[in-house]
Amino acid sequence: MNNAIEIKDLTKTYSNFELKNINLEIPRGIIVGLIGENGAGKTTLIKSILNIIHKDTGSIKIFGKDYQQYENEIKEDIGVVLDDEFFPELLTAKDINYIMKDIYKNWDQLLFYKYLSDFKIDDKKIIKNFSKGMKKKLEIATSLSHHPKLLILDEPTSGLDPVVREEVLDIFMNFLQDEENTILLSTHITSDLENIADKIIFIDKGNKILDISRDELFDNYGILKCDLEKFKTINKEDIITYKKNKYDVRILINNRKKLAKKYQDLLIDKITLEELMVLMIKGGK
Amino acid sequence: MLGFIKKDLLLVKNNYKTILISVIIFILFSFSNNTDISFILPFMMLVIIISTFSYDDYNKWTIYSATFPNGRKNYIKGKYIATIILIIGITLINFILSFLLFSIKHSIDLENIIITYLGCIIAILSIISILFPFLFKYGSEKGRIVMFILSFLVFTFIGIISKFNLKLPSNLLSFFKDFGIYFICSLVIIMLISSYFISKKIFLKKEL
Repeated sequence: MNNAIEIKDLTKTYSNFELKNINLEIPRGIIVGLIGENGAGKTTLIKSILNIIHKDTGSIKIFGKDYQQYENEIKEDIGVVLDDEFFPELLTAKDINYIMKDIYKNWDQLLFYKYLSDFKIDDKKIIKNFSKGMKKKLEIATSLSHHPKLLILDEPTSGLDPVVREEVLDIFMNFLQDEENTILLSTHITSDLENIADKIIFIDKGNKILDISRDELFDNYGILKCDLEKFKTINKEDIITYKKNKYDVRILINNRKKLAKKYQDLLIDKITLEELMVLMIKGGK
Repeated sequence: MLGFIKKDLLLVKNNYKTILISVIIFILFSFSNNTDISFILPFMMLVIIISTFSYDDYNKWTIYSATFPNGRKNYIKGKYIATIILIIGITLINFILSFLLFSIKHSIDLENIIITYLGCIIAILSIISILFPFLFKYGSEKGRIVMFILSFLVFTFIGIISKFNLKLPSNLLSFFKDFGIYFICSLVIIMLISSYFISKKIFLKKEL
């Protein structure tokens, strides 16, 4: 089995929101970026995978094993960072080590203290007095210290300054040096994903609207820029979505190289994930 | 499970000032007058234990713990076991303090002290048995309301019994005299075990 995560027909319904029929395959050894606007369903998907909330229908396999049947065994190999802070604020990092060594069979306190030292975390200071960034670093250190094979990270870099973010992303890349290891990472800071993600999954209003490799995305997708007059001449079949501004139109296109030949007088830029998100959510068709 | 017990004990350790103040109040009261306030420390501990549910909810530890292997089951086991350890532990400390204080006052009634403290443990464990499933079901905030309602009902019940001077039937009374302590202890153990299984059923199904 080469997939770290396999999800089939996953649904979860709330009174005002529905995660609809999600199908996913995440191969081992890659980093997958989960993107989407606030309330799109990213956290609901992550919480369903972790069984924090109970799915309505569908099946989940992790490392090729049925999640329902082997949940506890599987969880020994998953490291988690949730979107909200989750450590008791009155405790210290030293206390966290003292607790976690009885939670995970493979807890490695030397590794934990190495991360604390790398991140310059004081193990005797109570967590309440940590900055937001320090709390996040402690959460990341904890998620990595039982030698997980899969990291599920919900907004792990939010609240971190660019220097520490870089440091954290390097740690994630190091984690992937072992080709068996996998990361599922949800974030709003899409520039992080542009540098490290192998695959992008885009969720909008509870639907998976894009599931694409990073190379395919950046090779094929693009932004075609033109004025309002030129826009009228563009074939509708070439347009995925567009956004009209006061003086120009930005058009999301696929097949960038082919269209560059077709519309030689127009400028086609490479896409950024931020532009992709904005155009796919807010753009017209 | 040990990790969860440690977590609760560490959280309670952080409340040492409250516990210390309670111990001082207890000693001062016991020295200055004859009012029996031996329940104060175990009940103070009960309040602190209930506050660990609030900490867990507020700090999102409850949600995080569901991501651990056997997380939900161990969370519940840890809560019950940590609570029993803390209640029995603080009652023992209270008992030793009582014993020492009464020794100084030369008026030791050991049997009376033992019965008082045993009664205290039984009362608190009974409250826990009823309260914990509500705390697991509704969370710490709503659980507090349940605790107030329970306390109100218990005190109203005691009030009614004393006001109307109700008495237990004589054969039931003699049963309690002969086997009462074993009967009540067994009942509390059954209540605690049932409470644990009810909490487990609730918490395993709960959306966090």
